[in-house]
Amino acid sequence: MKRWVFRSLFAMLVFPGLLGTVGAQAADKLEDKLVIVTSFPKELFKAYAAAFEKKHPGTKVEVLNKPTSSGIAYVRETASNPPDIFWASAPDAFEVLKAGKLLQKYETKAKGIPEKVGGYPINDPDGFYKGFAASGYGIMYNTRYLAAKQLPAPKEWDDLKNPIYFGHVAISAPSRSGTTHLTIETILQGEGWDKGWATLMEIAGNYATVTERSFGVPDGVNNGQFGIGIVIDFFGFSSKATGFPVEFVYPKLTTLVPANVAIVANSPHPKAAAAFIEYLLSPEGQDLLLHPEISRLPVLPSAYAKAPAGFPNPFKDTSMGAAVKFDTDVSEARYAMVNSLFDRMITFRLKELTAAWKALHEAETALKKKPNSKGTEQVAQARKLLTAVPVSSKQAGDKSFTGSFKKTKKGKPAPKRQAEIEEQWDSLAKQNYGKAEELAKSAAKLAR
Amino acid sequence: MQRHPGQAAVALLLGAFLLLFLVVPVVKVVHVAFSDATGALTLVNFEDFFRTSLFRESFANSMYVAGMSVVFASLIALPLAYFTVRFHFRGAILIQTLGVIPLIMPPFVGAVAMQLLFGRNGSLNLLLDRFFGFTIPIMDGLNGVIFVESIHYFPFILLNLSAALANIDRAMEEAAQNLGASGIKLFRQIVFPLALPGYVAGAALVFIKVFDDLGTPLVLNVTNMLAPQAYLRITSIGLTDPIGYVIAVIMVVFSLAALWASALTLKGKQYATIQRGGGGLAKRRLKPWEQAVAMGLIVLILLVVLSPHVGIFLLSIGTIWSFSVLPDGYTLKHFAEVFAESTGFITNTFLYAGLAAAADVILGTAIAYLILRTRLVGRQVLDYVATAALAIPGVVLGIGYLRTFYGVELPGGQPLATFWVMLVVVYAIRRLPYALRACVAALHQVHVAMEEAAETLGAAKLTTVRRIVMPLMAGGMLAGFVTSFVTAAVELSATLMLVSKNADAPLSYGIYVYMQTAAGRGPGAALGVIAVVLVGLGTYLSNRLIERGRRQYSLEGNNQ
Amino acid sequence: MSAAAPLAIQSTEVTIEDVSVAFGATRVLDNVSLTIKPGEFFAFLGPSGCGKSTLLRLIAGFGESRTGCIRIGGADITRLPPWKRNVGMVFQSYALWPHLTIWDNVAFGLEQRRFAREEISRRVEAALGMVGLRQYAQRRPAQLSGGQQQRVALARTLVIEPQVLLLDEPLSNLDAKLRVQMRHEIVELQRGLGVTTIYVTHDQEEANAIADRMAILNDRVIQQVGVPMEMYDNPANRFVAQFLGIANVLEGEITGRDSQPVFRTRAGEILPLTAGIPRPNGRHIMFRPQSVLLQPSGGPAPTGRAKLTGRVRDAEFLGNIVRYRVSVGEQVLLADVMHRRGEAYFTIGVAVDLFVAPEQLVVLND
Repeated sequence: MKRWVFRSLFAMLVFPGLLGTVGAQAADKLEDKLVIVTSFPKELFKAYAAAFEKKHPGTKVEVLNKPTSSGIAYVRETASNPPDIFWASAPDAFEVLKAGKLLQKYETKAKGIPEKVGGYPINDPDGFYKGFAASGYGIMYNTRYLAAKQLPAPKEWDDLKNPIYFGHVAISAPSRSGTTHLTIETILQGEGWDKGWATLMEIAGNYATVTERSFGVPDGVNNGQFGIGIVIDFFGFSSKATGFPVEFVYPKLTTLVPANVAIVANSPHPKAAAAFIEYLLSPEGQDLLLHPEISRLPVLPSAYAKAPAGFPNPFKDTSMGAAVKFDTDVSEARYAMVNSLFDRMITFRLKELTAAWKALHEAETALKKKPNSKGTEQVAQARKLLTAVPVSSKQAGDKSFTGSFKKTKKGKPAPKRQAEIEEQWDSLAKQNYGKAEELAKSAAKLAR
Repeated sequence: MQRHPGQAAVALLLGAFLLLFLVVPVVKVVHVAFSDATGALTLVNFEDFFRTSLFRESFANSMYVAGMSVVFASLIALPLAYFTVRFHFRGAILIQTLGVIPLIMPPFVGAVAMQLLFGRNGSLNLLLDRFFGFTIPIMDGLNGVIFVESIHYFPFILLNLSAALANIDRAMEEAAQNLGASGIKLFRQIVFPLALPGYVAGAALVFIKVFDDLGTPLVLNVTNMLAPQAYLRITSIGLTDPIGYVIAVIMVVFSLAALWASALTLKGKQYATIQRGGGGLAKRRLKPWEQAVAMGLIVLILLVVLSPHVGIFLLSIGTIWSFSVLPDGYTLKHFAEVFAESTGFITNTFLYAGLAAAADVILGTAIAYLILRTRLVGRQVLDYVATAALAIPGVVLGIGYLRTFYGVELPGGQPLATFWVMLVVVYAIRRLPYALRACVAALHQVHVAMEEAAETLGAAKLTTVRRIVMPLMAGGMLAGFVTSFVTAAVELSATLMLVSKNADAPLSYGIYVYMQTAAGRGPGAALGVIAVVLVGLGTYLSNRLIERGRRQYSLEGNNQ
Repeated sequence: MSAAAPLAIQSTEVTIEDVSVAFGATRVLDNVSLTIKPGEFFAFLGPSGCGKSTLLRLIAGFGESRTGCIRIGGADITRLPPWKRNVGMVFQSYALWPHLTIWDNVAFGLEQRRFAREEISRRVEAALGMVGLRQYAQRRPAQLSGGQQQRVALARTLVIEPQVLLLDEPLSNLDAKLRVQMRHEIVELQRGLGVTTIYVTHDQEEANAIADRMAILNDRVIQQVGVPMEMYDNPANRFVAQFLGIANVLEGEITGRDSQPVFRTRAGEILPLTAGIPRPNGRHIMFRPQSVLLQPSGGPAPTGRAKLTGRVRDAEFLGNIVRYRVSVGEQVLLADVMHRRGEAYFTIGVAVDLFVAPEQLVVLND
């Protein structure tokens, strides 16, 4: 160990120029190094790094694996000597970087990739980032768990509202996971603002937990801590490929979202960075996505020829992702507001919310056995309290309102501070859920 | 006043170090808490915080969890410390070593293992359900956090308390026995109060650590506590969101308040106990049946506190473990994979954590000395600043480092922030509070006459510290080294921010990378097992070393 | 202990000029001045809290005076740190370092002075030999008895050949017999080495027995400096009189002509004093119990002695003497009677006469 320190120190002192020679290469050759910041799991980035190094010997790939939020901060803070490639799932992470002028435009030479997958544009219209694989959200469940608890396998989002799943479902907070946010948006855009929230809140009544990491959901389903998780497809596929007793289904209402790659502004190794993107989008690179431990949907339709049986193909199965026409502008404008609302209404008040739903379910069951008009009315009232959000669909489209949740530019204070609005939501949620629980309990009493 | 330019110089040096590597990076990030949307200075964000019921509730929850964790951690640590210090015990050193292992909780894997054992469908609850038809929600809500925090952090109390107990003059105890005290009463009335500095140091650490801990609540998905609220705000709403930093500032303030309160409880009490050659408490041999009972109790405690590690071990040799009491099958392929790919992580971890812990002990001793032995103006500030590091979320520090040091280039063009030594520095800063508390407690117990004797014999301050103070503090310093080392070895949040080359990455980063995928769970656990074993081994060896040293000057083998 | 001194120590004078010490608002010493002669065995005597230890530590370099200075051998050392003073100090707790062997403890000071290895060996051997502990060199402090630890502490201090030896209640942790033995050893060592020595104690017997001269401290100031016996016989004030042994103190006033002064007690008894006695402002006289001649009441009065009458309250047999407590008016006076084999006590309650010769009466300053 000591020798190692000495060697490093020695190298630092004696060959200060050593690191400086990087980049001084012949004009037509790739640089000898490529630095990638990614949130992707090891199976994915290892496979690509190895394949790329094999194809371009002489270029060493250095992968920095960081959670998306840390990755964004890293790119932002290292702008004076940045990494070359930012490589992650959530398009909104790229939007943040783009807005910060931290990405570089790039035109790919790759051919055969269509403009859209499942209705979602594959590439950034401004040309800053490229989609290289598609993923869709769906439902993952643990077969042992469902068998032990004698529960049917869910297929659609609406199935998850069923009270039999009380305490068996998990999701990650959309504020923590860009892909979960897209699922929430898909439901909101597919069903409309008010109905969408009603669905989300009713499903939330069955949540066992709202995890902080997106991988926390598949992890918990794999463990059997909860039976059902709302996850992105490759988590389900790769878990199954690893041998866990799990299954994954796409509900009808889903959006296919591209996972993206971009060159960081002022990349020190631009040639290698370009070569990497080209490799990702090449037929060879696209084939790698089919590997069972990676399991992502290629954006190159021809790649599906080699796919194993049963592998979904969005270019053939036109129903995938087609049920909703996803509007990225709408999603982006209210991104922070939707996340904050979800956290206030669901994540931070899950205890109160699930308790109220439980009482409501019990009251409904009781009323079914022994109807009571006053009880029915109370239940309806409670249901209304539990499915309403304090933001109207008009407000949700109002830029000055959603603007309170965005980073404000200096000198232009937002109309209202985010903290003030959030406090209103929080107290309202607490009050509503408490009242709903009371109403449901009183209704249950009436039906006794 | 006699001037002490040497002391002032040391204080300035320490101050400069803390300023450069703690205050500046943090201020560069946290100033947001005090600015409004236009960038002007304001306190409106703090007003917002206290007006928000969720934050008030989070605050109350954090206080409750921290307080209860201290209670439960004490319940675990007290008997362990008592038995090992009090009785001739086969394997006492093993308890001392195993007792530290809970601190080595590899990120993510530890949480998965805990869920598999104690979760709502973990092994314990599956068994309970099968045989008795009920389950216990051990891992749910605030109680889950208290449970996990207690078994994770009790070693802080164990280590500090044991070191303090070992330093008590036997005569103190004998005097009490002579006056008719014995057994538990003796312990409660005399021995424990004498060891109070160690206990308070440990308890304060547990309180602050739990109050500021972010990993455990997040892993258990408990978000209505302060630390997770701060973290969620900073990492999801964005770096410019003021409330996250308001919470960070509030946590710093409360951590310091806890520290101040602990200092207050010790104020004006003379605790120097090594006056005449130390010696430690009299050890008694247990009768066979007593030995059996004591052993049983200790095994039970260790079983609970080491269960996550048992879980990690099972995970590392298991094939698939899902909704079942034990894994479906067993295999060694995870270890094979890890050894083939990841040996660099191991050497890096030892290098970084070792250097960081060594730096911590040196810094901790220096600060402790300045606090307790000099009258320098502002010496307490060093203590408070160093301790404030406990409450700084690793993410904040990591971002601060990038912001402060990325523009500084090493010869050759590498940014200073990405130089691996910065990982050592950030570990040293983040773990300094542990070493500092241990050093302060140890120095509290060294009678000042020991130093004065050296000075009259011609030893200047520095020599006195080196030849007399440090050897006498060795037990406490080792306790500090071990806690710093062990916890630095599993640091993740700042690591994730600062690692810029795979070749420089430590174990915790390796575990993070593995634990991002379903297939990586086994290898991640294997890496966790390796971390636990290696760090545990290091702890064991250093305990052996110090035990040998202590035996040489204790009363053992006394012939009169 | 071998009397032959293996160490070469210069006898040095210590001068304390006008030092004052305060801890915060608490004043501990006020304007203390004192000169200790070269080679002298000097004691600081006083009740606990009188500032004697503070004064000693000041000489060693611990704590600081707001005023004045301290000189050793003429050199001003007031501003020197402890380690540059070459002043040896033996601590009450001995402060032997538990992690070092006896040898290493003793060698420590020599190592600080960068002596050659052989020289260190020679001197440590000699110092340990001097205190008779050569065979314990490789032990640890905890393995030695209290007396042995005390000797190690002495050897450790003397081996550096200090200009001044400071002893801070060095015997207080030892049993009575050992204490007497050790104090002889210390005196013998000190005489052999000729080292200027300052000894702090609260035990007047100890100070009387070993000190060439001593200073009595109380209330932040030095009450009196002198040779023990002179101070015993001529205490400067009531505090010194009572601190240095037992004193019968009577209140009253000095009257009569200068050629035949008398002391009139408040009770009206008349005690003749020696002629030409200085008449200080004092309103007290003092005499020691052993100066009293105790006789049964009504016996023949010895000439020229003052007479007081009283009743025996109780008697204390102390071996060589019997100490009687006698009620005289409202006061209780002590009278010592030499005990001889076969002699009986005065019975309790019996009326007695007390006679004191005028030259045994000391007029006290207030």
